[in-house]
Amino acid sequence: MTVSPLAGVCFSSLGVALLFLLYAFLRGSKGLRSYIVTRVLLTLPMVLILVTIIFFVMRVIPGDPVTSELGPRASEAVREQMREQLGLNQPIWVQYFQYLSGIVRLDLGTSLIFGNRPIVDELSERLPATLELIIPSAALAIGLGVLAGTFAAEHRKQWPDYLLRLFSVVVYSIPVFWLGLIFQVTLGLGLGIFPIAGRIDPIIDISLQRHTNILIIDSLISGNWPALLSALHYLVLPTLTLALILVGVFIRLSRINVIETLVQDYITAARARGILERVVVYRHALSNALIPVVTLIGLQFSVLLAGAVLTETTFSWPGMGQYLVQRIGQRDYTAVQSAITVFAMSVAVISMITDIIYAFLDPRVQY
Amino acid sequence: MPDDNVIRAENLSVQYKTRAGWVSAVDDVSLEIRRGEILGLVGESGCGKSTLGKALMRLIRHPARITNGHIWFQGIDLMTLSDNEMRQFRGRNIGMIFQDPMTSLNPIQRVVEHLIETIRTHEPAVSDEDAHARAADLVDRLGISANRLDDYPHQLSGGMRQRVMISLALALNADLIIADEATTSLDVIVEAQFVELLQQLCRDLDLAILMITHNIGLVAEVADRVAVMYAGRMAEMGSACDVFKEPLHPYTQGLLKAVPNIHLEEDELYKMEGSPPDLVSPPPACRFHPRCPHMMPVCSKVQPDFETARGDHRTACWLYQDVPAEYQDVREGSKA
Repeated sequence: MTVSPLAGVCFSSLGVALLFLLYAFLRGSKGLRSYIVTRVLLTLPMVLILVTIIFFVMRVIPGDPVTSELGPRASEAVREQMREQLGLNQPIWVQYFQYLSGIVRLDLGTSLIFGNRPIVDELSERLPATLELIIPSAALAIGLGVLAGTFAAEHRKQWPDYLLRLFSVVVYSIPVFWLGLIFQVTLGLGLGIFPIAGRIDPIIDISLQRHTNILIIDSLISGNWPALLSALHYLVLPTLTLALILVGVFIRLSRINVIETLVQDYITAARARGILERVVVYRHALSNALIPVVTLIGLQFSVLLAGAVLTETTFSWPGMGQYLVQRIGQRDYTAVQSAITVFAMSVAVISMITDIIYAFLDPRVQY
Repeated sequence: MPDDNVIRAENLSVQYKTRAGWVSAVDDVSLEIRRGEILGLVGESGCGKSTLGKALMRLIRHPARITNGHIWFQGIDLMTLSDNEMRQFRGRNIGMIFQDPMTSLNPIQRVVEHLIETIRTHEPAVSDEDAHARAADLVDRLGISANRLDDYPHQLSGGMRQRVMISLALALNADLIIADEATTSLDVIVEAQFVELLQQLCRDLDLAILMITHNIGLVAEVADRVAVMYAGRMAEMGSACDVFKEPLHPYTQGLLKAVPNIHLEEDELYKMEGSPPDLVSPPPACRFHPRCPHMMPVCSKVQPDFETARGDHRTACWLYQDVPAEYQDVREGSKA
């Protein structure tokens, strides 16, 4: 079996995570090391519980894949044949273990509506698209949010502070799809600067050889610069939309945390040692203020995924979110189950990583 | 003209901006600290002694500001320096030790990082390795083994942390150390060790130390000279011997009488503490007059100067000064 792009993406993201874990493990104290081991081991039962819940919830929600596939007037014999084909005639625990072993083998079954297309193949197109959207959005939101929040804290009760606070409330309250539509109408259709749907120019797409399905990486690998430019061009509006949804929370949280750290004794003490004000704010205060922000990143990840669903739908971005919405509409049970499993597992892994970053940043955390 | 003073503050005033208006936290205070001496600055909570300590380093920040005065440090008026020049003075020439060693070290920086950062801020030419060696040397002199350098602050005891604070204050051979309530959070035994260390450093390095505290007993034990503040003003200053044996100001007299119960006393007497509106409209003239057992008519009308009563012993009280003629004969009945 050749390695599918999905496996490639899974392994490379896990690889990045593992590199970080290794770094923290080597740099960290004995206590931190045992914490990392414990936290990683704890993630396994957490993932198991998650997929178990997904499996059983999918079976108790109203509706039945056979009926939705064949229609209410199909004969019992046809239904039975379909059940057999899908493995639904087997005892529930057998189905459960088949599902679990499928996840381990990265074999998530086949789509109910698109012939016998393996779900894994579909996800290996969809997941990279979502990663390509959420990683830059999250980076943009966190980076800008923290900097703007710190800037506002530094200028507390002056006009930059008031403006940034107003801005963060406004963007936080705007619905994603509305913001997306406004961008499409103004920057997209109105000024014609940015494309409003899809991931890349369809003509350029033909010339691009796919490896990971993350188009930026693929075009870099093959040195296809027009493809890179086009991919970035198509990325601007969806990324901006998703990033703006998140940035408000990060501005407000960074601001309040920096304000709180700036009145701490060790800040006054650092000033009393003649440390440069810039260093006091951006090293002493910000690094302490970032600790709770890191925790928020873990919590906001699910908001990011939810935002991705809406953003992808608005911008016809062929990612996981759009996939999930479509397949729910089409009652493609295996597809929905698989997509939710991927979402749940990524939330589990991200929360594990943020916990470890937290422990790594804050030497006071008791393991 | 060379003098013995390491630092001399002249008519220093600090005001805080509050909703109710400007509040005088430090009002027209003068003091000097000489080489090789410990000056104990005592007073109740909220009397402005910590603000005065910070003002000497120009560490007063918005919404407070130094409104008046000069700070002479070895012939230079610190008030005329730019912010950046002043910053270079801090840490290099003046070191400060704070009240709570638990919170005055950056919790996510190792001890050695604090020291290296401080050394390299003031001497950028020093390499990391040299700064590390100096840091090890510094803490070693203060009785902390060099293998604790890689610890985080929370891994050290309170006494050790306070010694780390001293090492930071001394990292660049400062001439003046301001210890702001530096022993308040230490237990009695550690406090005694800490104070002994300060005395020893003061002798060995010929330092000037300003010890800000509300612990009268401690001051009596270690200070060479004592300054007493009340409601933002200097009430009395003199050698420890004079002040404790023969207190002049009625406030000092009361304070000394209250030594065993000094913490109770704070609760009962101090209305101004923590409530700015009270400081917005302090009692007129001598701020102690409403509580003074020797109150005279002049006390609520004219502020007495802070001047010499006997030798080096100064106080701001009409009991030791000539009352202006127009108030000499004022009696209860004659007002009508």
